[in-house]
Amino acid sequence: MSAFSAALRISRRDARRARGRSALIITMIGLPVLVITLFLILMETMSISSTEGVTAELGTADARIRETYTRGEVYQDVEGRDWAAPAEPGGPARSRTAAEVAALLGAGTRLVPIGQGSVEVRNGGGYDHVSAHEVDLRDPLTAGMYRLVEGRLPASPQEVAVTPGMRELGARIGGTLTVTRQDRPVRVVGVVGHPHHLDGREMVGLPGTLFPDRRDDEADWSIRAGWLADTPQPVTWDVVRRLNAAGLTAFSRAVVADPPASTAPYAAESDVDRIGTVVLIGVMIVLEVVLLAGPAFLVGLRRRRRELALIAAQDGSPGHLRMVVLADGLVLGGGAALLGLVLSLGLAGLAVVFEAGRLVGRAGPFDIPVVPVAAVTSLGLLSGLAAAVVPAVQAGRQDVAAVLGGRRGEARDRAGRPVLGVILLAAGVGATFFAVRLDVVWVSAAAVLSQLGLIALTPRLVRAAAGLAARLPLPFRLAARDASRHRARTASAVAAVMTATAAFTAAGVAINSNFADNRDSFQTTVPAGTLVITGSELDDGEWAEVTEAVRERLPGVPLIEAAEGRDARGRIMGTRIRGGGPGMPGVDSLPIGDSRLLRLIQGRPDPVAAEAFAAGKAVVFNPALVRDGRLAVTLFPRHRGEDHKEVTFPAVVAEAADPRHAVAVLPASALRTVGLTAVVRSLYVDPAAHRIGIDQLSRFHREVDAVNKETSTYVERGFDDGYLAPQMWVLLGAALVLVLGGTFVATGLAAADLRPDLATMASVGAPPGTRRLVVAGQAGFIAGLGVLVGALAGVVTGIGAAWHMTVQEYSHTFVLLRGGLPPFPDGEPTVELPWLFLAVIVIGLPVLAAAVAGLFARTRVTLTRRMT
Amino acid sequence: MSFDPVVRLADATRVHGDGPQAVHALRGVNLEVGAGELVAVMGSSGSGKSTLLNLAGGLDRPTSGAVTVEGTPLTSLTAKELAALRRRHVGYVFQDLNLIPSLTAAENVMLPRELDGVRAKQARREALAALAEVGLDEPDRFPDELSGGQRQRVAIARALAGERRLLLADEPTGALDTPTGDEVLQLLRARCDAGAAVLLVTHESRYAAWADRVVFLRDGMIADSTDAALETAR
Repeated sequence: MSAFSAALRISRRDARRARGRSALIITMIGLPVLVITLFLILMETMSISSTEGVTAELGTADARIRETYTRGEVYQDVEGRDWAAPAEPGGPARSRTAAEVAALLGAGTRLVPIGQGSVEVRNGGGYDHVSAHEVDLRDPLTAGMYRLVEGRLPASPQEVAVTPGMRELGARIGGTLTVTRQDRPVRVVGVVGHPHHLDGREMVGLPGTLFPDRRDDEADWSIRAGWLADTPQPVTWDVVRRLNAAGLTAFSRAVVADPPASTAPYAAESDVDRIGTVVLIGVMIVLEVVLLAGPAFLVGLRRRRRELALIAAQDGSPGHLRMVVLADGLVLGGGAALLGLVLSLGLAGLAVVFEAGRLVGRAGPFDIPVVPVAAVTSLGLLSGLAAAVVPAVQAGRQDVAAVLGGRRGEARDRAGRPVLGVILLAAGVGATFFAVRLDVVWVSAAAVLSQLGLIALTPRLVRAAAGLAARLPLPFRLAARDASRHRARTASAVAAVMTATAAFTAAGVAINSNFADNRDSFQTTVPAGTLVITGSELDDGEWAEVTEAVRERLPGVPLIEAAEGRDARGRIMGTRIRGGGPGMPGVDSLPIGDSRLLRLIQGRPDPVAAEAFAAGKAVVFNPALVRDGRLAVTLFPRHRGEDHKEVTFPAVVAEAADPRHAVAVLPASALRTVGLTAVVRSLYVDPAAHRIGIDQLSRFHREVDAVNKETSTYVERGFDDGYLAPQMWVLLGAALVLVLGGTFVATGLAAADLRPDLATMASVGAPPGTRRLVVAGQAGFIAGLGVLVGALAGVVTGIGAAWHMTVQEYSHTFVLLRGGLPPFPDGEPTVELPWLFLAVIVIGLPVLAAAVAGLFARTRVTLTRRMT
Repeated sequence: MSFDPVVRLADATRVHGDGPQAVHALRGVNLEVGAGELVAVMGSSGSGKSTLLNLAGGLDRPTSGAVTVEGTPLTSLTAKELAALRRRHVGYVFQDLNLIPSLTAAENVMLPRELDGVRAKQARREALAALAEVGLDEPDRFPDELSGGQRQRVAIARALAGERRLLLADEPTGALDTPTGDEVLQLLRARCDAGAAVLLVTHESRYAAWADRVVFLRDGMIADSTDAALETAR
């Protein structure tokens, strides 16, 4: 034990003496700890856990019961926030009466109705949607749900209370607001505050004040009716399940305080994947930190070789030497972790003091998630220890006499564990392709396995690469040989670079492929910039009003009409086209209209096509869709009914200005031939004739919405490709930092080791430039090898991830619903390698690393040829 | 002695640092070494032996005075030109850490020639010849696979590869046992007799006996100089 405290003392003193190195290691370990714990604490503080949120949710009640859209059995999570129904609902359920619900809860239950949803508030020419509660806040059961800030609570159906955020909409005590589509006036009598939602816009009124009668609007499930229940006995999980069986969900005080061990058969879908993601990110960070910090500890070992030899000379065993170096890891890792923790607690405290929660509109009580924070902090400490393991083993093996005699006294490094490496690598690659059927996170997890294999193989790779360098010019050959001789140091740095590169390359390939997939499968029926006004649900009179309103607001702008087909029963029929080649997803409703519509969609005048169109022929822009001069279309009811009908239209093939948005156009007259009536329900505005600005659009949208809320107005934006570049830049930046960081730590160490060699070179007449080139060669070797192998591994992982992302969308449902494994995804994946990104990483980063290292290399010669 | 010396130090002074901390490593030293001459420099630790050697080879510059190698005054040369001069005219042999561990014996000998732009094939041919001259027949071994004596042989071969004839040796036998040390000295003497100029720093008077001339340094000044003084000990 005293030997241990001596080791700790030596480490502490040494950490203070070598400030630069200590600062570097502390930053490498402490920064991730700081960032992650700060994130955890802020998330926990911001989030309102079910126990913290009980009062806001329940007031003083025992449970809050909510209706679902079904009367069949449902399954819910602990809080009843998420639930699932095993079967499709058999049509909407009639609302339950309070008596029915009370019967499920037992005698002596008191129920207070409470509804939650959103209400439309008239504001200028349009409506705003505002969250709302319908509940009598005067009832003692609701105590604590809102606190009264000003005025009084609503006492009649004409009165409401609002949150402070509603002032933006002009709500004042004593003033009037106009709510719902019926423009019902209500008087604001009070201002109330929600305990957690600080700046939300909310409104509270008595039941029946704010929400339209549900029976009028059975499709609007955003409004959930329910009750606060005051029960004689606590509402246990058994009672909750009884409510679930009747299609009700419950948030119960008793259940939240003492959650059931399992909510089976309800399982939150994303949990496994989420835990997997967290563990995966944790493993990657620890791995990277260990690999980065490892060489830094080796620097310390080199510097202290003599000190350690002296300890050995004072009868210290190799075990003692190992202990001294491990104590380094403990002191620096522990110090860094502690520093990170203290800083993050301080920052989080500051954030709470200054109510930073207001910025995001949410604030719970200041909370420290003890277990995760402790875990992250110990991981930091562990990373420090782990990074010191290799140097410690080396310290134990050093040749004491040689070191004391002033000669190089390092033991030879071993050649890694090639067999283990190959096995892990093979297992990882196999697992990657197996994981394609599961989820991206499992693809990445498999990649970690092959990464570990590559790390075990790195010393071999270093040796092989140095062998290849035999033909290079002298400085680079020397650098490569030296790198290979000091394999522990080089391998650790190469592995750090490799791991970082693999992660970022994989992400780059996956993101780029996903982007390509989105781009290729993007299809609209109108050109970008077209303003679209649609109102399928409207009758002729309502549509006329809408058309009139649009004309008033866009005076003089030509409006192009488009129609939709209705069958004999008046149902709106979709016109579906599938296929047309790989990556062409098809459309569910073809544009139907006159020659002006054809002109708009084709994007150029085409007399031949126009003539055929006028003669009742469909104009098709993708030749693959036309067989024997006819276009096959599936007619199906857009809302109700499962029946569908295959029909064909006579068609001609034409060329569109932009085939991406043009599929085909049907003449209105053609509908009659398949028994449909053409009814105009859409207006298009050609961007060439008139473009609407963003501000105008939002006003236009509100105003048309105010005329009839069943209309939709939007501007077709086309495919937005702007999001790819920023993501790739972020990846590149992160790769740059880690690759250069890892390279420079190791190059600095190598340069220190090389000093006697550089002195020898100087003595035989090597100019300073050659010496610089040797150092540059060291950096280039580490970065180049790491980046190359890492990029290869990353591309494999990226392809695996892209495969999953671009072919199979909802694989997880297979696990949940069918049990067993999902099948391997069917169909061709979109894989598009980001060549420029890869080139910058594989070529650019090593060149940059070499240039910077060479530029900053110390070329002053310190002769260390004698120990006198 | 025939003159036109290979290296000449004229009133060479080297001061490290300045102000009260200034250390006068060398004070006004005059020394000439001609071809075929082996000059031994002796003196206690800190007497300025190594500084003298560094100045003579252009690894360091005198604070005042002049150094001339093969007729070229070093004062006006740039760092790059100094390096070129060392490559072509000067060879060093140190006590230890002479060889670059990641290069083989032959590659170490090739180093100055390669740096000079000689093609690898020719450089290797020259290196093999130089190694044969010093009696080493394992050119492709790495330094840590060689014995201490063998390593010094490689260093001497490198110091004299090409057309170089100034050899500066700093305690070349310091890390060797007596018989091996004797062998190395014998080799140096032989190279000297073949036309090289050797400046040998040592503190063992036994080896001074091999020298044509012995220079004693004390506190940075030449305290005494003797022509083949210890001739009889040879």
